[in-house]
Amino acid sequence: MNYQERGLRRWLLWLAVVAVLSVLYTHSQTDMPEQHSRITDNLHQLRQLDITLNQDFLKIRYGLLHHYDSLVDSMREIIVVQSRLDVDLQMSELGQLNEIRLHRQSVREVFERKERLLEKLKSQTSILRNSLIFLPVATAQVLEKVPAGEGGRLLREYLTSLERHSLIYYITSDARQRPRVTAKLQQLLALKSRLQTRWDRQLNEGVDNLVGHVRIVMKQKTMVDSMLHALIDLPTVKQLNLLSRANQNYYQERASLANGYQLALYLVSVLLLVYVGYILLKLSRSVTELEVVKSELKSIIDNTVDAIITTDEKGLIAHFNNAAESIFGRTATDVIGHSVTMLMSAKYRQQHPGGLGYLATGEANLMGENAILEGRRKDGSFFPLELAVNELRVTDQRMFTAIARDITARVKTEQKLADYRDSLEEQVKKRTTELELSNRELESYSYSIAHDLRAPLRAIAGYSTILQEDAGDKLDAEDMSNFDRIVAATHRMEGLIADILELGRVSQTKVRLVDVDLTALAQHTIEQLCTAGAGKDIDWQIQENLTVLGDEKLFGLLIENLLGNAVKYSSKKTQVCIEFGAVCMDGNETFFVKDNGAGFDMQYADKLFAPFQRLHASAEFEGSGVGLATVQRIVDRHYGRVWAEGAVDKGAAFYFTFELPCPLP
Amino acid sequence: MLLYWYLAKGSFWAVKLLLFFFVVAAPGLLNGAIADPSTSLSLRHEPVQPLFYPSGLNPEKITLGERLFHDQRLGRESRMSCATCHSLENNGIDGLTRSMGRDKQGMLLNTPTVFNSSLNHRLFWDGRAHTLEAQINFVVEGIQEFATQWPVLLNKLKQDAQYRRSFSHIYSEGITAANVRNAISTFVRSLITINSRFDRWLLGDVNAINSEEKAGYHLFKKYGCIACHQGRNVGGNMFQKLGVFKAFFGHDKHARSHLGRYNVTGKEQDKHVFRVPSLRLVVLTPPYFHDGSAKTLKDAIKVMAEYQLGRNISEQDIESIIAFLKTLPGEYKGRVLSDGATQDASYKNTDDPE
Repeated sequence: MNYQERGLRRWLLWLAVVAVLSVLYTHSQTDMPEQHSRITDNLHQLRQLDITLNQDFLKIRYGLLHHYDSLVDSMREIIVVQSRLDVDLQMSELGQLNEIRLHRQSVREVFERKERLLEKLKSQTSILRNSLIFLPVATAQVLEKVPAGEGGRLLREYLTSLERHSLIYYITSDARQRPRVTAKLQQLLALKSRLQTRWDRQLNEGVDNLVGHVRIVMKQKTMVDSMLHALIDLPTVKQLNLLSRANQNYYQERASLANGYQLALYLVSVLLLVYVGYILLKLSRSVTELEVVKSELKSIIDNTVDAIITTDEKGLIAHFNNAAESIFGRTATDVIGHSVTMLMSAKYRQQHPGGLGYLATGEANLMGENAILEGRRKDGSFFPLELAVNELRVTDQRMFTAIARDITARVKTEQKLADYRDSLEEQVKKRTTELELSNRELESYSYSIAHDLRAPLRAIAGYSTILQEDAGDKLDAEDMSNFDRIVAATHRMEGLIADILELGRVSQTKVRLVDVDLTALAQHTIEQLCTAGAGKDIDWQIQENLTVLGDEKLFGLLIENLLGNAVKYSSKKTQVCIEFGAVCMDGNETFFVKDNGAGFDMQYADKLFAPFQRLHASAEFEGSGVGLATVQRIVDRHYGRVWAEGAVDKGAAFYFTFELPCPLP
Repeated sequence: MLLYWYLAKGSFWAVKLLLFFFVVAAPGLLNGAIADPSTSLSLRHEPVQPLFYPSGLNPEKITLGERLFHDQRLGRESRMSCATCHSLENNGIDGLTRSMGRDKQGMLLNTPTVFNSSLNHRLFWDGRAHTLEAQINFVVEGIQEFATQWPVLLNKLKQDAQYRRSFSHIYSEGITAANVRNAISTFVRSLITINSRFDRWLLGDVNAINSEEKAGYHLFKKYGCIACHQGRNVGGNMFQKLGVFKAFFGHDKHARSHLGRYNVTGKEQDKHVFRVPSLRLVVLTPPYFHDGSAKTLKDAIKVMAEYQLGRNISEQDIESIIAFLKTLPGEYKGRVLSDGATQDASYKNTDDPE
């Protein structure tokens, strides 16, 4: 998954790089030069046509333009070029710029004004030209008809000077000439009004006609001149230059922007190349490192003592190391590509049906833990095999690696160890039996001794009593007391023997396990003690419902002994309190009998339970020293533990437990 | 590398700049230096210039345009073509004082000839059209003329398989209004009457015109006619007020048909201003003036001399000028245009019931 994510991220990164490059490339490319040159070209043509027009105007001014075809052609061409310019502007984004639009509008307007003025100029110039051509002719025609005489001389003079001044005015356009022409006109008109009745009709008409033409010349000349000036002063060149400069500026901006993008494109490309070089370098280095690691791994795998077998999903062997070769007795070339089942005994082959069944079921019966199987060598022999299988993911493929170990030697050793252990157990059992036998012999021996001792003792006691009764009169007091002592000693010995027998019986009685009510047993013992006269003033504190699994008789004996002991050793105290109960100690139900009697010194605690060992003199407290030994024996018979705690004059506490967990806290 | 890149870029521009000078600037300069090839030394100062057949016209367009020119489907109810008024057999006019127009309703103005009309600086008497294409638009939509709309007209044309074929062969867009205009205009541009006797004289054939005709030309210039009627089309390249020297119109001076260019511009100074007509075919295209008020050329010359030039002209001079004017009509399709000469079978006057 992680691998795929990284791959995806890498692809996205490359896509982003390609996108950046393409964006930079698009911005660095511009069709501006072509359009720019076309627009420049059109503007240049407009300027040229404007110059031609202006040259023609000057020709008009000096009467050198004989027809208006060139004007018409230029004007037509200007319109064509302008529409071409509009198309080019519309095609480039230049046409959308406000500045350019305004300049273009100005150019259009100035040329429209020029065209209007030009049309007017053509008309007016024609009129002027016509009258100008006719003026000398008309003057000559009138002069022919001038009559002789004073009036005729004046008329002739006026006519010639009028003609001269008019033509001078036409040629020089000198404003000072105008009043002279006007004055001559006035003089002529005055003369005419004075003499017209004497002139014939033709002369009158001729003079009128001449005056009309002079007026036309004067009027048209001024008009044409001002129109010519207006035409030449029209800011066509200025507007064209403004448009041209705006176009130039825009192009330069675009060009520098495109240059910037090209620079960026170049830099990014260089960076990309450097990066690719770096990646290649890293790749080659990591390939070398990989080779090293691979050879290391290979040598580790080949030199390991365990067989390492890799299979693919279908259970076909992909890798087989040296150890595997030696363990299975096959060469790697033999097994690679074959099913892994060929390495198994028939029994396990069935659990490995047609490959790896757990792929389908999802049950990984061998996965991740060590298993002991049976392997098959090339020669068909089987051998024990310890196997650990692990699943791997190499890219998106599942692989399985089995690490197998020939454990023939280990199995043999284990067998030996097991045999040895078995023989040892047998020996122990034998020794224990022997020991038990000797113990029982010893016990029966001591029992029989004790039993056999009772008869002579009883004889001693009986005969002593008989002797005492018989020779009672003959015996003095001292003798009597000696006899008493003998009898007492025999009784004590009898007690001792009874105790020993009891002890022996405890050891020999078969334990019958029943639920024993310890509380009831304790109550019963207390009752017996009370009837015997002891324990009447004692504060008994017996816990209720104390039960335990055990032999009822033995437990009776146990309670009797412990409570009896407590009463005995508390007899010298006035305030006696004896406690029987259970506590939980270390998770075990532990019973205890506690008194506040004479107590004992803890340094002798281990001697308490030995038979015939006494911490107090018999004179002080009666006893045979067998009671606690009996207790010890009973507890032992129940596989329990007994111990005592106490201090001199501070009372004693006896604990016993059967190492069973507490039923209740 | 970076430096090289910049250098390469710089040199690229230098190359472009050089190319610009060679390709664009140099021919311009040369054009300025070398004048029109027709302009010989003597010719350069003549106010009348010879006609030449225009170069660069697509012959296929001319053929298509000729067909369209004669196609009655262009008019409303398919009853009028360009040739209805501009009959090529009749020197490009209908010969009427004022044209009948659509359904003979009668128009206000006289029809000028279609021959050499592409040389006029404006079209129509009032010059309201700058180009032939614009002029066609006015005719197509004019109530007294075709009185139709382009979509209607184009629909009719599109039903003609031959048109579809021709148009798609010549124009990538097929049958469109612009292409129809372009075809007709191209045809009209080809209607140039070249190789007239006067043109031959201008181009150096000293015997092309006789001495009377030469004298007429000199009179034409001397009387000042040439002031307006000049150039290759002998007029048709300027506007002029009718009645320069004295008022031409009397009580009818406010009639719309007499207001001329005023109808276009609305300016007082443009009242009674008309486009100066060409005199190339003047001897073949009576009657004269915008309203056809001058029935004969003699009348027209007289009126012109009186109102425009402010002088009297003798009968003899008029004859002489007419003799000159007769040298002006040239040839169309190798045949000199004349009064009754255009009886060629290739022209069929669809409007003439006879």
